[in-house]
Amino acid sequence: MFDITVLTLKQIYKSKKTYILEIFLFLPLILGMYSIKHNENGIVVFSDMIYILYLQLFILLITLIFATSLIGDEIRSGKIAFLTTRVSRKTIVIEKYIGYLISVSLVFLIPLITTFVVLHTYAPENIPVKILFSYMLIIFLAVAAYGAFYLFISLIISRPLMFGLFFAFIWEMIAPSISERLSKFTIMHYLQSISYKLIKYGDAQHVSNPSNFNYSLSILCILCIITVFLSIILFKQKSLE
Amino acid sequence: MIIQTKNLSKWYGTVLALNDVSINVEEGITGLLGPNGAGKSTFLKIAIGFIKENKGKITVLGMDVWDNIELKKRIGYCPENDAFYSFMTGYDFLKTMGRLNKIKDFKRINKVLKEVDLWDDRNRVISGYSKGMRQKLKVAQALLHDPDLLFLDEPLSGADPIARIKIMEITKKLVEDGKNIIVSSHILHEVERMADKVLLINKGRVLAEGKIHEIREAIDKFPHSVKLLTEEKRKLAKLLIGYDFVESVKLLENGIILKTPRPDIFYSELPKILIKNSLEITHLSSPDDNLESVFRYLVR
Repeated sequence: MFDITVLTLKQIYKSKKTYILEIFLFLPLILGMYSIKHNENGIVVFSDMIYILYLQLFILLITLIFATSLIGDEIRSGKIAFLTTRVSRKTIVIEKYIGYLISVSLVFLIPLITTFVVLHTYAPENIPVKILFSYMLIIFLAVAAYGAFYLFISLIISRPLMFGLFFAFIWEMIAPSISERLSKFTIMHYLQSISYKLIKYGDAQHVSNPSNFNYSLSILCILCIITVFLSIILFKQKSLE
Repeated sequence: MIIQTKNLSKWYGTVLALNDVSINVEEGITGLLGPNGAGKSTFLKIAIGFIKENKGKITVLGMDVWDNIELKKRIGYCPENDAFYSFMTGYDFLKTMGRLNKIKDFKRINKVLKEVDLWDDRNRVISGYSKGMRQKLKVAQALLHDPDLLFLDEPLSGADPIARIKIMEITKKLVEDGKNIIVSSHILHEVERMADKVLLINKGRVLAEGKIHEIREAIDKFPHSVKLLTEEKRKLAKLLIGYDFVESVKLLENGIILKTPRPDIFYSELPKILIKNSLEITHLSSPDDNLESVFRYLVR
């Protein structure tokens, strides 16, 4: 039970790209310290750094890299044969996704907590712990939702990275500026709506027409369930040429 | 019957990989012989439920193959491609694969490691393994859960002479233990040393099936070329030309190519000659022209 999850965790944590990307996740810490040094409010600095750099940049990129390679890389390399000749394809998708969810969440949580602790100590005012927990929840939801979506994409198109980049940095960014209705078709809208409810500082409050918190949470959970379910169906039928 | 197919076909775009293959594979060890691109790997991959046929039907051990968990428990697969979780040690890799097979007794892993002669190297990282060791590790993972039917896709490809002998010994012992094996190769004399029955496949069609000595008699009527890559090409050439089963030797930039009128003797003697003279070869191949000749002969 969960042996493929453990294997996925090992694969991600033994990969050089994980450590390279991890270094970038400490950028909010450096920029945050610089801002606080120049007398900016510690709470707003922490919140905005995470909101802008993590939520609108790093999560989009890092989930894309890991989720599209989760099964896609194993198929391309042929290693998937070691798994498909032993366990059901449904088990492979579910356990790989769980492995991704745990490991990629940890990739974000370690620098997030470090940034919080350092800025909390460094800033003249106390940064409430509630902000940290709120961002932990938002990041977990973002990792889950984008990951499930990209996993699904990697099983239906041959160049998931190209599509993912378009989705993350064109659709997710431009759709809200075209119309409010279109923004409802982005994952970012629901993450921002949850941030709006939970984080009462800085840029997190600059969301136009946020959706209801419970509704947003439900949409993200449903998206995860549906895309993982569709990924299972697709992978069960997939001829691994 | 361990494998039955009826009108099995597989195509990739306009390329026909398997063409209307209808066969019954009996118990024991069967060689799947054909040149590169003949459709051997496609056949094996369909049989293990890795790729899906476009037409026809296949059953393995009387069961449907697609994502069939009961069948997975009874088959082992040694893939042709050389991809591993390279960060693991040989032992960790087998332990992980064993867990997926629900093997709780690690004694089985130790036994398999000893069987394939990897016990002393079990704690080395796979990325540091030689090609021969990697081949043996692939065979080991396929044996781990003691399957009834083993699919070996080019198991001797790239392996050094000692690893080749070991893998051949393992297959022989498995057959003695009552296991069934399907082994693919593009070198007849490799298959000959492991299997007694053969399926001759070319351009997606099964051209002949039957006892291997019948096929060998056909191929031995043709001159047989063997390419050997080594750093000591002159020493090897000088040594081999002295044997009556070597007709001619031609020096290449990084090895030799020789012609033998008695490939059966050549292939059985070569490992002994190399070991005795402390010579190392990095590559051994038989140009496909010879097999093509047999195929032409068989379809005439």
